[in-house]
Amino acid sequence: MSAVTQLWKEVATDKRGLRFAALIGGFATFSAVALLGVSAWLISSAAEMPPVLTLTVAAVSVRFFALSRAIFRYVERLLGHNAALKGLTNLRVTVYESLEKITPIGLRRFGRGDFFARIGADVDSALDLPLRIVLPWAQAALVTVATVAFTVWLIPSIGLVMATTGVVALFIVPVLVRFIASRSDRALAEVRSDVTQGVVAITDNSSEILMSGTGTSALNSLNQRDQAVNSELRKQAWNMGLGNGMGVVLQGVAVVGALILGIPAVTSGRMTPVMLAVVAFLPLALFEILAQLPSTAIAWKNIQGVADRISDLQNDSEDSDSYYPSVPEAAGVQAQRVSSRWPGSDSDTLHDLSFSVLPGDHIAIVGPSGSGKSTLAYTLMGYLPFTGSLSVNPSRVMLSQQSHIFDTTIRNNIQIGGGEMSTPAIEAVINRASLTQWLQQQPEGLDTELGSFGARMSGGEKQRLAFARLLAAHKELLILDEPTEHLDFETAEALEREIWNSTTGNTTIMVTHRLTAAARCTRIFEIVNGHITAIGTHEELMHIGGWYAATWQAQESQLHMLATINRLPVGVAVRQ
Amino acid sequence: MLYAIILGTFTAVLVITQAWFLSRVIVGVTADNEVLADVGFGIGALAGVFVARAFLAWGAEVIAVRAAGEAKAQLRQAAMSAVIESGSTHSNPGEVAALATRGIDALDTYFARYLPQLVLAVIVPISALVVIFTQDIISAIIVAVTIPLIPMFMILIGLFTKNKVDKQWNTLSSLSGHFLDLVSGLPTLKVFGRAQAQVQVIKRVGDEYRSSTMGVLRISFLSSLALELVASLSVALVAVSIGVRLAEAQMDYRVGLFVLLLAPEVYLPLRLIGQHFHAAAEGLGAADKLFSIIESQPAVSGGNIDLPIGTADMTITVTELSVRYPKSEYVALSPVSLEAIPGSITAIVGHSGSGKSTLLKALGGLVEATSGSITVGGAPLVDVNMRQWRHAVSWLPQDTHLFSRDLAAQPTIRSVVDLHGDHTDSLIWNALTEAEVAAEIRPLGLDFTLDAHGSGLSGGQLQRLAVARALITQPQILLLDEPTSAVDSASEIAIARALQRAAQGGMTVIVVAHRPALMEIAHQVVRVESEGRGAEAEVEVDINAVVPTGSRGW
Repeated sequence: MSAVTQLWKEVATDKRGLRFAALIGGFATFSAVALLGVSAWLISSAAEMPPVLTLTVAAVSVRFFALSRAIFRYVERLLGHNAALKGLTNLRVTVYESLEKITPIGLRRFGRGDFFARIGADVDSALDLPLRIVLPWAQAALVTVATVAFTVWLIPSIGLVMATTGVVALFIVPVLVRFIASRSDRALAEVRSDVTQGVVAITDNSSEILMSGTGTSALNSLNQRDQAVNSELRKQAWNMGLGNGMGVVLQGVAVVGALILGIPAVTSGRMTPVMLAVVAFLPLALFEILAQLPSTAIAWKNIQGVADRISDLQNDSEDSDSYYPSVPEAAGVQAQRVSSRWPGSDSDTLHDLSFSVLPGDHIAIVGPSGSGKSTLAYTLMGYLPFTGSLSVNPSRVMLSQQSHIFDTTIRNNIQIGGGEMSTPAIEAVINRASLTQWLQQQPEGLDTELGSFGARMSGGEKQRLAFARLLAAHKELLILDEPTEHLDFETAEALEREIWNSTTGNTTIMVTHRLTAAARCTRIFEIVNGHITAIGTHEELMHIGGWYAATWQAQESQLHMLATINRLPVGVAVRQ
Repeated sequence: MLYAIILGTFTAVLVITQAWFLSRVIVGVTADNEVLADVGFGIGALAGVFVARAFLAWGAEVIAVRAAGEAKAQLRQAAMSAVIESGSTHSNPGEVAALATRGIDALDTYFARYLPQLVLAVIVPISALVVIFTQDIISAIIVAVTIPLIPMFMILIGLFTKNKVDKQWNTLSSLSGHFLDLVSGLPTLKVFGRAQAQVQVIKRVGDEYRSSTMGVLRISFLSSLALELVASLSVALVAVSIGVRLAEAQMDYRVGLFVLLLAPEVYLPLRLIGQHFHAAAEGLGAADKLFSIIESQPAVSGGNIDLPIGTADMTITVTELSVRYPKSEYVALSPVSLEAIPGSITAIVGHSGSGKSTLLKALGGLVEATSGSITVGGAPLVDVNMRQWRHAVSWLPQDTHLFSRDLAAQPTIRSVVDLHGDHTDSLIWNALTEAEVAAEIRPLGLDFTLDAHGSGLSGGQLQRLAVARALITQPQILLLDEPTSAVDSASEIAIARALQRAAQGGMTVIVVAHRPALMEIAHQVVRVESEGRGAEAEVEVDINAVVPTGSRGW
């Protein structure tokens, strides 16, 4: 099953609604064609000065088709959107469910920062499939069939011309346009990415470009790339224009064909003269509608990429739930010769770790970046496959580097951790996370809306709120994965001290690269290259003198510098 | 634009000719009893008109795309030129880049479809109307009276419904963000075991979203309903009035048929413009932001005082300098004073968000002082010839990306160190030696290519390459912002030594120091501070947030 078919199945949940919309749309389109056809008939017969009643009927039908074209179109658009939006909700649910299954490990495969925004946009574009592709095409097909049926009934050979040109316009032109568009897309994507790369190079380095006086050459280089895109676009336009021209040629073939076959029919008396105008005018109106199909083909090509990306998500079999540590009854953590690896990787990231964490322990996990610290946190959470024997307290929860703040109130954000909670209980966890003062500044208190991605909060406030949410969950084992990674030095220092103070009753495992925080812990695990190279207190590790001791010295001189800065006066130069 | 007018005129002529020959042929056969051979010329001419229209449709596409491409390239040039000239006061390079790429490309529909259609919508209806007028005044009056009804109805409906649409629009955009919010928060939801429960919420919000969208659509589709109604009813009116007059023998059949064929052509371009309008409006949302970038203030533009280049007079004096960025609530740099003489090293220190980089930018002439002053050799920096000043200064921002003059994706070491491409190999090697990176580059050679990841060079090596690039122009003044991300301590010490040598050679060195090594070599240290710290984490802005996606499909 192709990705587009799969997408269609998920979007077209309201089949009845869509069919109804197509039918009404078909009536609207039919009315447009009939308006011109009946008008032609009206005028042609009027010229023969028939009885008044005949003319009245025609005049009434002309007005009827004029009204029905507009009104049916309005109703069709509403029905179509309603059905498509129902499908959109369904697609959101299925996309959400597939993402939920692979969270968090499988998500890392998609890595990039704008991944979620891209998913959101892709899901929204799925609306194009019913609204811009299927419905317009279905209506065009319906009205073509009606026109062909009418002309076949009238003069079969004219019907044949209509059928042939109609089939070409319905099937061959869109396929051709789509083929041309997707073929040049690849070349376009390449030159377009050159432009993007150039733009990013300029925005990233704008001050250096200005200062070094290289602005003109940078702009020239960008212009060259733009011209490369334009020449590729012109090539594409050359072919797309051919598609548009073909539509007009088909219209001409149908009109001229109808005349050439119709005139002898009139002469020989097989067709009444009034019908000649009708068969000549019908293709004019019909091909005005069929002329829209090339743009349908472009939308069809675009939806292909959207469908591929969405189905790529859904076909990911990486299930993050399957690795829960085997023996759940431990109060802390027991690990015997545990090795673990990332799905898709062919070597272990952690090798033969054996350790135990007792209830009430505060453990720091330190080591150079890339040594496997976060891998250990993920393994303990049960997100990664492992070998060896591992048991972890099931009452556990994790705080990650950048916590998501939901676009809702403070109260709701906390309740994501703790479920239904009383106001005093929420205020208590906010207090433990040192956010009481911040809370007092909020206009609506706990019911203050925090905005998209916590837009109105600083990085430190977001992590504190996430920490409060973690406390609200009332779990025994807290796993903290570099909770201060993206914060500046002072904020990080303060937050880590507060985390320390408010978790005295918990078992805590904290991954950190800041050794002042590690030094407070009861024990420190030093991990280098996936092996535990040392376990002990701060004093013991300083005594051993490995990675920990060296890094401690560097960080201490940094702290020393900060202390020096604090003693300096502000805004004046001090000689030294 | 000229092309669009020529194309529009051709279209109008062909539309009218087509109607003329078609009515001729039909009337000839039905009224004058002509046979196929008699109307052969008319049918041939008709075929010719269709062929010509086909070529026109082909050419129109090519010309529209060509013109749109040019317009987009010019816009991009203007935006990037403004970004460079502004001295990077744009807080979010990612957003600017998204606007200058996807934002400009979203204008495609506007340039390639909407504008040409706008020209057609003026030329074709007017020409057709004029021709109808010469043939049948009554039909011309019907058409002329109904055409103004279209914009009138649309404006009336727009005014009448604006409030309601605006209100609904707000709920709508907050609902559409909901899905994105939940998906982004999935790891958090999963940690708390609440991920599956959200499916019901998505369904509920989806239904709310649908019902409020439908509320907006019921109103906004009214305007196209009015357009269609006016267009088709007036065609019907024309047809019926012609029919009645034909029946009463007050009119010529040929004229009647000709006018009937022309009447819909008056409305067709108007209806098509409605179709392109919504797609074009999506792109224009981004264009507004783009123009605010293009119109942004350039950095300090300077005056015409010549600098005392190469003399001891190049002392930089900063007096009570403070900076508040336009539209910002807080003072980015509280008053600071210092004097930097040639041959000295000045370290700028302070906590994060305290305005260290702002001071450096002000010294470079990238940011204007809000109060206080900077003088160079006694002349106010704002009056100094900026060309000379920037020539005398080497500038190293905190997160230098080592770009080359031609913005190559994979620049060579030569092109990133010798940015202007006017130094000999031996001068380049000298600079690399000065920056203490020559030994590591030697085995790779100057033509070794770097890429976005540095091609395996360490952060420290890349930083020393940047120092070499700053030193190669032999500047009088070196302004350097130390990188905060991990640079190994050996590199740190090497850079400190390089700066000391540069100062001994008479250069004025001013560095933002984040780490002890650079602070220790300074002759003087200045601590800066900002007021009411506003150093918020910057949220990455995606073009999808800039272009309202909700208007899709209308």
